[in-house]
Amino acid sequence: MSESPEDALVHSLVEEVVDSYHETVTDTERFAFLPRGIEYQREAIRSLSDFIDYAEEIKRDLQIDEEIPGRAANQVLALICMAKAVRHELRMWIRLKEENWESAWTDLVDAQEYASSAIAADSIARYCNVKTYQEKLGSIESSIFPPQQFVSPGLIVNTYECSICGEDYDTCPHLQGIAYNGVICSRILRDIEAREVSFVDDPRDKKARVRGHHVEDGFRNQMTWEIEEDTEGSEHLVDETPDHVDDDEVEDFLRIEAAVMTADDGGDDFSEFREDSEDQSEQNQEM
Amino acid sequence: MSLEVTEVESVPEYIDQEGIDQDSNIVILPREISVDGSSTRLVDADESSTIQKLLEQEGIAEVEKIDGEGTRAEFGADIALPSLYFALEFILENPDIVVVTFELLAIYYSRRTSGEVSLSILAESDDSKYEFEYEGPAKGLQEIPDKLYDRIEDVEDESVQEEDEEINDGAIEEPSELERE
Ligand SMILES: [Zn+2]
Repeated sequence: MSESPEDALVHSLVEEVVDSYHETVTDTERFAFLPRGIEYQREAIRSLSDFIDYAEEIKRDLQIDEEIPGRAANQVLALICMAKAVRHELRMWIRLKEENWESAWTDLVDAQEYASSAIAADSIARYCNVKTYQEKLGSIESSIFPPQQFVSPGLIVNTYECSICGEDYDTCPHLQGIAYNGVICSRILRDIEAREVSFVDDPRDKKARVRGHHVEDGFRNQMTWEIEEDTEGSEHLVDETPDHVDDDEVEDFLRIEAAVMTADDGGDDFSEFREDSEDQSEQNQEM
Repeated sequence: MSLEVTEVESVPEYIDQEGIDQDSNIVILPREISVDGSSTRLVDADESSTIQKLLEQEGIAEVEKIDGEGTRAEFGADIALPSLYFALEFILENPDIVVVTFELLAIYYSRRTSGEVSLSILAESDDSKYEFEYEGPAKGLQEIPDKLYDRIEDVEDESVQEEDEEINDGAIEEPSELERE
């Protein structure tokens, strides 16, 4: 069966993105290691951002045309997700060198989530060695960061809204985690009854973690073990005492960041790495 | 990966109450959760709607869902699937549907998670009721039907054997496989 001119065009568009992906990611992955110079890592982030902008544009073109099967946009989405994963990993290394530990953790989790999204988006992700990449991120998690304790909210949801069509998820045709024409379906919580917060070892959302606990002279950071000034009253923090913590051992109580987060919770702003923004910050320093 | 089989007293009462045609359906069961420690409430498992839609979209029409009051949201890396109820007769007479059902679940959840999935299956005939528990990688879901049929065969053989033993008063009683587990 021969390919129609439209199909050929779609294939060549996707192939173009694949080539550009391999070129960019092969080049930038070289810098995804701790000792690499920050300036190279920043440059790599810029290259990836350029690739992501370009691929997003192609994806939009593919999405608009109803004649084009949704798979083409899904394939491009998978490549975008992988590039975003590597971009977060690079920023993680920079944050680590800056001793910005908590942001580094967030970037690691974002990298992991984007790698998973790439798998969900399309099987083309397999050709990007995503499984090996996930293993790399897993070993970074266990060897670079101290063990974390996580929290998980217990909720009864009365309505889940579909992120694709906005209808009730129970009755709409979309399945969560499946990509439709370049967009992954997810469920949005609507009308919930909160029940409890529990401590879990293996949460879906590794950003919902115990940030530390109160001690006599402040707040002990779980990541650094350093005692910080108490930040009681912060709206992002919830106080909770876990059942399994012996009161004699820990007189104070734990403080938990219990926000439910998703892959798209604002950590995707890489504008600080743009060429012009760097000039700006250098100018500011000079002043 | 593990698949445990146990004989259970009875399937939840609400299956009968809901008036579901047990001979022709796969039934997605709700979960029972406790409310204030004293009473209970039936809620949908987090994956119930997804499984119902997935199977229906693939042309498996024999799927019914017993609706709970709300959905219990799960936020673990591992995915707990709802319990599925089958009439034993349905399993025996529709192996193709059973095989396709678990293949679809395996393909779909392999893409959703690299963690583990858990699932329990209740199967019932006029005189026996069994619960099969699976816990393992999503890919392993597709191996459930083979194991399910093997175990059902074993269990049915044992019950025939037990009947024979009861007739023969002098026989030394061997513990059944179920008891050994
Ligand atoms: Zn929808």
